[in-house]
Amino acid sequence: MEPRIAFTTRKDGVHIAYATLGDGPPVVYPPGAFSRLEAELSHPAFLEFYSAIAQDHMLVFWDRHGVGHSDRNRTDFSCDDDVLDMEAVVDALGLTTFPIFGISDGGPIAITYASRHPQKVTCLVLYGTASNRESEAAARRAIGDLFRSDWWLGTRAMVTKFVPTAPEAAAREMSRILSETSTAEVAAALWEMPYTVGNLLPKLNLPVLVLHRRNDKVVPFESGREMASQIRNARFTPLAGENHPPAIGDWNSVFEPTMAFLKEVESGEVSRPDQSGAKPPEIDDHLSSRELEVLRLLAAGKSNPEIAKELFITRNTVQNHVGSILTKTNLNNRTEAAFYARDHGLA
Amino acid sequence: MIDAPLVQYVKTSDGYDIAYAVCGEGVPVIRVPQLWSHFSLQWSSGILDSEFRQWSERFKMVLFDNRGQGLSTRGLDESTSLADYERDIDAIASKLGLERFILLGISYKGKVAVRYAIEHPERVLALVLWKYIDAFFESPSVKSYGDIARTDWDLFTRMNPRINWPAKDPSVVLSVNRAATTQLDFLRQKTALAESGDSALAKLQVPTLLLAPRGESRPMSGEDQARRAAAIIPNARLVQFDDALGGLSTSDGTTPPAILAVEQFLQGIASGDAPSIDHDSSNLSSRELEVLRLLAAGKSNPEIAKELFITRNTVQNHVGSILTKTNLNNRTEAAVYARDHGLV
Repeated sequence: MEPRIAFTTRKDGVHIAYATLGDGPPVVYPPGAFSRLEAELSHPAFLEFYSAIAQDHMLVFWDRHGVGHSDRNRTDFSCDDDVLDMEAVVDALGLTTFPIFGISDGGPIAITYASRHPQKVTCLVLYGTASNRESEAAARRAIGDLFRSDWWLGTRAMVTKFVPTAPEAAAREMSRILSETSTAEVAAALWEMPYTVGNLLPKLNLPVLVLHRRNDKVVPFESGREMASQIRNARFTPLAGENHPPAIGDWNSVFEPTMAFLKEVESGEVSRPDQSGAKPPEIDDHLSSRELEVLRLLAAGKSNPEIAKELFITRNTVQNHVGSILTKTNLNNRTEAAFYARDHGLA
Repeated sequence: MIDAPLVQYVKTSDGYDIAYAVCGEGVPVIRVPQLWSHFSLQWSSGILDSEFRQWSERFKMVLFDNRGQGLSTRGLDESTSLADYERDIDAIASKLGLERFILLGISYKGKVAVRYAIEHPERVLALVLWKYIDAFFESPSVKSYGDIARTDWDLFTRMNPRINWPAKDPSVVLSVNRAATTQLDFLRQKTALAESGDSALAKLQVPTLLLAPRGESRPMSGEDQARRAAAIIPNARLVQFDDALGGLSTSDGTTPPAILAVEQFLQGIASGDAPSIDHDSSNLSSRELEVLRLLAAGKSNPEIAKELFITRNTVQNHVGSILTKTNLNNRTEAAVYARDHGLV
């Protein structure tokens, strides 16, 4: 599967390079950090993850203003400037309605775009992102200073932070690719962007799935949890792991709930909160969102103690949930529950 | 093969318990450790075991952890200074009854060894500085890296293995480093070491050997600083190595070139063959040597003035004095002289 790269022009004249991968209903995927088209689409691990999504969707990427193949002359480092990129790409492709998969820096872009164009956005999947960076500001500034004083060391710091346990050779390669896709000054400015979209969260009125790896070193888990708590009826799924890019590490743990959620939304099983009353987004009317989470883990082959650990609840509580799941679904045992989950797109 | 030695303790004059170990036979070498010190774990985890073994096959190696590091007392005093680190060496030398020994200083902690050698020239048979770096966190490009130790300890400890130990498994180095020190002790050590030792170099009276990697362009490699120090230290000898480990790596288990260089250096001292690059005959001051080195590197007087933070007139005076003392006619001859005398 080869990405198709093209250019579009923003209303202020800035040229943006964008690409699509695969065919089918669109999934718009705003940039998470520095460069998509060079750094990510040329990297086997990233491409594998994207190709999986692109099996039955058209994944839409672009290089944000200032990096990669887009115009490099960026001076406005605001989220509004990033949203202009997205508006131009959506127009160029003539997209009418679509889900947004916002990771890292792409989260605030997704949230802002969805607030401005509610009629276009069917749902949000937010991974490894937050609505502000207050808790990270000091650490980010120190790394930004390193970008400016020694870009090579800076890219090493960035890769170490994004993928803490990468083998050295892979880390060096990622560092090299990054160093070519932007200048130190632009990278530092992007890295230090403040992002304050917290005020938009309570107004969001669409299905939202929030995913966050527990030991993410770039955006703290707590920031993701806090963001999810402010979005009405958002579904929150904590994941294991510490790598920030979803494609690195156990990408299935991001891929599966994301695709399941998109399918639910496409099939109308999950709808806008205000059209379904106060009801949480559910696959099946009578299972609670917590029971669904337990069911998903159970179907992934986890034991009760493992589920308890992952969800920070006691084994007894897990046992109660499992009992309740079996009663509500009228099933006899865990195995049947696992098949039920698979049939309902949960696993 | 020499096994990891048993850990012993000695108390310093100001009450710190210092962990040390002795291994091997021969001329005693006290090794002042690097920024991250936990010799016992560095040995058993395979991070520095081959280096420690290589040294102890030829010398009576004294390994120790500085205060605030490894198995020595943790919790550095807020006012810890460069001079306090000398107490660790003092305590060990007294306990072992070492009258004369080689002092081996590693990279950024080389300045501790330099100070000790200046104050106790009678005890230091020879000073060996491996990858000597005076300004590390103080140099502009490394400063931001050092700041991360304060703002993001997790990242800093993860970066160190990748930057300084590229040949080792980063996860092993990470766990050793995290066992070696705490963020607070590391920051206090960093503050203590920020004091420059370069100004003291000219006062060294002991035979000094600098071992440095050649041609590395990374700011923290220190090649530049080792060369600079070699020009300032009276009678210093500089030996450079091409391998990434600065003369300490061998692929076939033979003795690494850096250790052979130390042995040769000692033989030179023993045979009364002054290990000198012959600065003395011309009576050049350390400052003049520095100017001569820069001049030979093709720098103009204004450039030299800028680099040494002195005025152009002072540079001109130094150049005049160099030419008089060496009985040479012009800058070009001086440059050739510098090359002949191993200054560039």
